[in-house]
Amino acid sequence: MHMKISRKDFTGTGKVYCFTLSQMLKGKANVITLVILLVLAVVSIPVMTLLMGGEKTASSDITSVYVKNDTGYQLALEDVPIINDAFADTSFTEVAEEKKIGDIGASEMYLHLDRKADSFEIEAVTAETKSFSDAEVTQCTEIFSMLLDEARYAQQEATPQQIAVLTGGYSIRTETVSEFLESGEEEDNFDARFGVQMAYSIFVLMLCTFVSSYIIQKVIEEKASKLAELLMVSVKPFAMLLGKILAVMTYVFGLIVSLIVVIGGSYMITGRFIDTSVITEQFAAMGINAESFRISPAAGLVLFVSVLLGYLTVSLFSGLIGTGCSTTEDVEPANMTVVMLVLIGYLAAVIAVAVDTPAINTAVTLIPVVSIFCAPTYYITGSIGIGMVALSWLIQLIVIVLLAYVCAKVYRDLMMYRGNRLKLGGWMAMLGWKHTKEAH
Amino acid sequence: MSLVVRNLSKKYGEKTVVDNLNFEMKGPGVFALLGTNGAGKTTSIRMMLNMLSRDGGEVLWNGKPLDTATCNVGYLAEERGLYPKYTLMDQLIYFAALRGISKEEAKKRIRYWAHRLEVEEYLYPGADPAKQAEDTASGGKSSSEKNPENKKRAKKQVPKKADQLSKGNQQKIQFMTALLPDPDLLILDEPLSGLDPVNTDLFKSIIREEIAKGKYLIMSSHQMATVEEFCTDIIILNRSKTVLKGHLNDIKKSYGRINLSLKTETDVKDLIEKAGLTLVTEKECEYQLRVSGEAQANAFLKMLIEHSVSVITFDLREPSLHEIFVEKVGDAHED
Repeated sequence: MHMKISRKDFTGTGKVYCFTLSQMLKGKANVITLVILLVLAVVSIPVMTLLMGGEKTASSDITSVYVKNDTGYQLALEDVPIINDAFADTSFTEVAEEKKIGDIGASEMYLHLDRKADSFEIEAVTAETKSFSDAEVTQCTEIFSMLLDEARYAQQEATPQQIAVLTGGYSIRTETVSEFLESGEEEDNFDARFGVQMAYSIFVLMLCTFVSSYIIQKVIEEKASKLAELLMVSVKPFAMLLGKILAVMTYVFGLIVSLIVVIGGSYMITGRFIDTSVITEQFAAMGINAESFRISPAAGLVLFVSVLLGYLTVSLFSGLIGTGCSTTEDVEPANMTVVMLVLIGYLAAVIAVAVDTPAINTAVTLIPVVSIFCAPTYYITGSIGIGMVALSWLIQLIVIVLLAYVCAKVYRDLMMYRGNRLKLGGWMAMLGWKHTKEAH
Repeated sequence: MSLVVRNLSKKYGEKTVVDNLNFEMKGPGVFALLGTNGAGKTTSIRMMLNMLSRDGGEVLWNGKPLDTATCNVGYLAEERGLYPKYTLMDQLIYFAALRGISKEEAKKRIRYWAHRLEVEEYLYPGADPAKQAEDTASGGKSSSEKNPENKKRAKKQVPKKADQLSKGNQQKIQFMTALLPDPDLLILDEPLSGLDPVNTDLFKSIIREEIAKGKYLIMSSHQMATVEEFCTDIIILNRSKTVLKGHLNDIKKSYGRINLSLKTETDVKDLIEKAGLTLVTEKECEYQLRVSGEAQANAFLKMLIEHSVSVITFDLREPSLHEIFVEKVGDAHED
């Protein structure tokens, strides 16, 4: 039996990788799937926004604002549309004299910013027959109040971060005693953890389920096409498996990332035409906001390595399960085996977040299939330290090496195997742990 | 160059499927691996090519373990296969790349073999056949690549995939994959099965060319006439064991000239019986007889002349490979 993995076993991996990937990209079924998914990703945000009650951003009816600034501070008028895009089409002009007041049209406004002894005054003047609402006037004056604050702090040489702190608003919550006792930081933390866990888990779940299905199909393809013998003259079985697995991993990763990028792009483009805050609010309610994705480089690295190791584990496992099958009819049950395993890991991770005790957190961080889903998020949310993450990686690596060992030991014979889908007994016989004819 | 197969063995559980297979090829030529169904021929080939693990034995090419690093092998497997949904050209370039052949070189070789195996229309759809022949001869770019009109035509034609080809044409493509690396050792497992007579002749002519080039060929086949046509050395397997091995002519000589074909104008069954010959078949005064040797045959001829029998054919020859095979395998079955 072939026991060790040598450099020779990897010869040809690159060629198998390139061919498999190029054929996946050329495959009609894959192209159609990709187009459908991308179209769905593009329309998802506008459709969701409309279904959830999003409306077109109301553009202000104020066409021009004439600003007389007697405060002595330089105001950044160009920032007005950034603060409130309802004023994107409104022109803001600084004027020196008050004579403009008499000529104010129905859609125009005059603003006078003045400095008193120990305060500032913003005076808004509109025509008697103004064509816009009082709310728009209030919004406009609030913006200038913010601009004035920023200008004052900037003159005191405050940094943008300091200005952000100084001008940061307040959130006001009114609640009863019982509500007060039940709520607090704990709940916010749980929401955030649950949200981040869910977003990350869905990403990993998509990666794993997609990849298992594709890998099993690709591995069976050669056996079903009776090509295994022809290929094994030229390339070692392990290189054949590895090349395929890496190609499918690349394809699926590219597919999922493309979908995320397209959804992000759709969100940004939709935001130009429709108020998407309803979606933002929905995500915020689940604990997911822009802050959730702002992670340190170290956390990014932890995330990357964890996903990579988990992804590789599931892919190798799928490859092995695939080689135990002989016909395309076996794809579904084989895929189900892998998907069930991944789903168990996912559910265990989600339940662990809800339970949230140190013992459970440690256990799920160290169990390979579950740790894929929770180790990095636990690290990011501060539930575990880098030491625990490293231990989780080590266990994951051991699993990968074990799977690679099994591949090297049985893959050659598995490629030539014809018969019913291998059950546990057959696998054990292949590995030499049990002597039975089932493996042959 | 030499090929040595020594003590090759394989067991599945308690069942021995190949039992100490030994043979040697000291020079170029064709070696036949013969046997009944399930005798262990394909398993032996798979073990030789490291596709199956061995329970014992070794396979050496020039004294080194046989693999793609030590020997340029071409293999036509018994289980014919191609990717059904990929274009033929993509597959052939991939198979060539796995053998370390550059894309440009692979394209040249594919063009040559496509012409030789008469499958150009599937690999170069839309190209002018007359021009293709010219291009193949010149080794240059295809007519579809050079001529804008052909280029347009080629664009209209979708490249062929394996599942769009007949079984025979698929077999030609598979044969091409075995030949693409210009192998020193060519292993052909049932190369002619399922081919029509025209394509059988085409394959035979290519096999003859490969023999003429000084290649080492191992052929497994149930078509004894074909094996006899090409092979110099044979081994016959039955139920995993070697029942006969050696140089084909020597084996035949060892049997002697014992087959007698006789055609007469009158019925001579009485004389055959009187001479003690074994009657194998008989049809309208055409007899296939088994004699113990030349002396018995000569005595029988004398008897025919003495009885004034008009003899049309009297042909004494060695047994055919088919007869040797049936006898050996039959004996082993009886054992």
